[in-house]
Amino acid sequence: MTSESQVRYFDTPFHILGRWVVGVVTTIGDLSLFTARMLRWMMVRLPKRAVLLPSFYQIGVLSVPVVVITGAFIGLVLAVQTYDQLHLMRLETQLGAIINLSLVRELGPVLAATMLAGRVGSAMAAEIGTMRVTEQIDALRALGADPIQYLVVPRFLGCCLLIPLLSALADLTGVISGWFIATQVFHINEFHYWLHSRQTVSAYDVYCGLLKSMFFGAAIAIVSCHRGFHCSAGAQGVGRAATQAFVVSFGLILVLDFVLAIFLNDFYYVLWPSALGG
Amino acid sequence: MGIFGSRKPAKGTAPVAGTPAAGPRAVGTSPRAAAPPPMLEVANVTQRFGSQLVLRDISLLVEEGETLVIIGESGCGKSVTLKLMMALFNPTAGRVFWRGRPVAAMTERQVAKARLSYGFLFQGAALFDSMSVSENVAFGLRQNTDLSETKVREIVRDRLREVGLREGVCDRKPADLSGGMKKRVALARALALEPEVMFYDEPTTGLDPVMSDVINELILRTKNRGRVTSIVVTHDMRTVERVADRVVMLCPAGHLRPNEPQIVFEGTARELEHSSDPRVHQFVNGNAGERIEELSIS
Repeated sequence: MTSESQVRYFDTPFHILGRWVVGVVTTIGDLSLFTARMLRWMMVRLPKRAVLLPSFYQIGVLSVPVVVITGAFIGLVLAVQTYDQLHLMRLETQLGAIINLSLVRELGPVLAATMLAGRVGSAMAAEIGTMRVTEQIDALRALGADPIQYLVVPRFLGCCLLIPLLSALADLTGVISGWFIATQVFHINEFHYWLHSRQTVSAYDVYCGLLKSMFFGAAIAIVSCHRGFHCSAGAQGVGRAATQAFVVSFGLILVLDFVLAIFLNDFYYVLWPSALGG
Repeated sequence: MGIFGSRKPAKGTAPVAGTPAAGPRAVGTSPRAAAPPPMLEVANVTQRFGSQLVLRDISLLVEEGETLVIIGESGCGKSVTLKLMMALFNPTAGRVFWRGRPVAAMTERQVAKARLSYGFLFQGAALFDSMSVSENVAFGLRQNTDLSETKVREIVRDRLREVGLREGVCDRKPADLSGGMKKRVALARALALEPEVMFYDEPTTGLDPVMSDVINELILRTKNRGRVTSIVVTHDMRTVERVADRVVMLCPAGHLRPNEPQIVFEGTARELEHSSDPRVHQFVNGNAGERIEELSIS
């Protein structure tokens, strides 16, 4: 039988790569099981209102200032950066179409989700990580509560339901700030500004943005809670979990944005095949 | 012969019927079959975390109503044993039995339900820091019962009074409490569901001698309050003297010779004081002995 002293660790590139692959596969498998357990709890029993509401307040209400500021500045920057180019081509009345389409379809959901991954995701990972390190998660189990049902389900529901609303808020503030710069500072004709917007931005674009943000919310909640549950001991462990929660969530937001953009564009032509013919 | 460490039959002998090594537990011919099953049993348990071996083939029995104290130096696996008994995680090898029923054979829901009759006082109290004292104590009741709010508040008040805390602390957050108060609130929380078994993980660690004595007294009162079975993990010899019916001492797995049992002592507190085992003697008297040589490692 192999004793402890006989176990040796090698550091050739093959071993490093092998360990990395095993680590990635293990993490993906664990994340999948974690998600499955959470979804199962959502079917079996939802948490009580007294547990859901504080999570919703933390995720939704307390994120409003961050999202409003983000949305407003996206609109301002888009207007300032785009105006010069369009002005050269004498197409400045198209500014509304460009700002509003970019906002509702891409920048609003993605940047709002990125801000929320930083604010909400890191906080969730740090909070759950601290609970794990201080044995509060064990205490939950000892007192008859399932930690997934008690800690993860409310956060998942909060992110899935409220991040689309926060994205809508970011869109709205971006639209208003873009309109303000375009019409009040650059003196673009207001009628044409909105006319081109209406002609370009459809309800489908708005729904696509909101649907994407729902996926972003789910990714933020699952990744952040999972990192919290796998937090290593000590202040460094909690800090690392919070950082990983943001970095992995941000990566997933970008990947999901790309995949969903392809899927939703194709789906558009499934719904309206005549649009293909031009 | 003691119960601890004697569960695994010696090589070449037939397994005793009813023991884990003998397979099925309900064997009619065994004298043990007629007796009620022990409250808790840990059978041939090995626990590893990654490459680190924490527990090596340990077996323990805890009878109803007794107070078992587990001692041993830091890192010997005392708290891990306690958490395994509570089924907070599964052992790498071996089995845990609750009233003769293997935990591994129970569903997650059955384990969660059965666990309600087990209370756990965590080393750092593990109070939920987002909740007030009363919310902490009421947590188990609100989570698992349909009691009215009035009844829940009444139980919370009674439990806090039992551990010597006034109603004034109810609205305070755990961060505003002293170490001793935290431990008492955690005990009140664990007692709220009226457990049959109480686990105490280093209940007096970090407390002054007076508060340690208060906690020891609370452990005794809890035991006498309806014959609660208690398992206490501690380093504190005063706690051992005051509360123990039986004492088990574990040795760190890394310090053991091959085939040497990890349980190096089992007996009463009085027997512990007179043990001839140098490791036990060292621990009881607080002598570093040859371990002082570790300081010379540069």
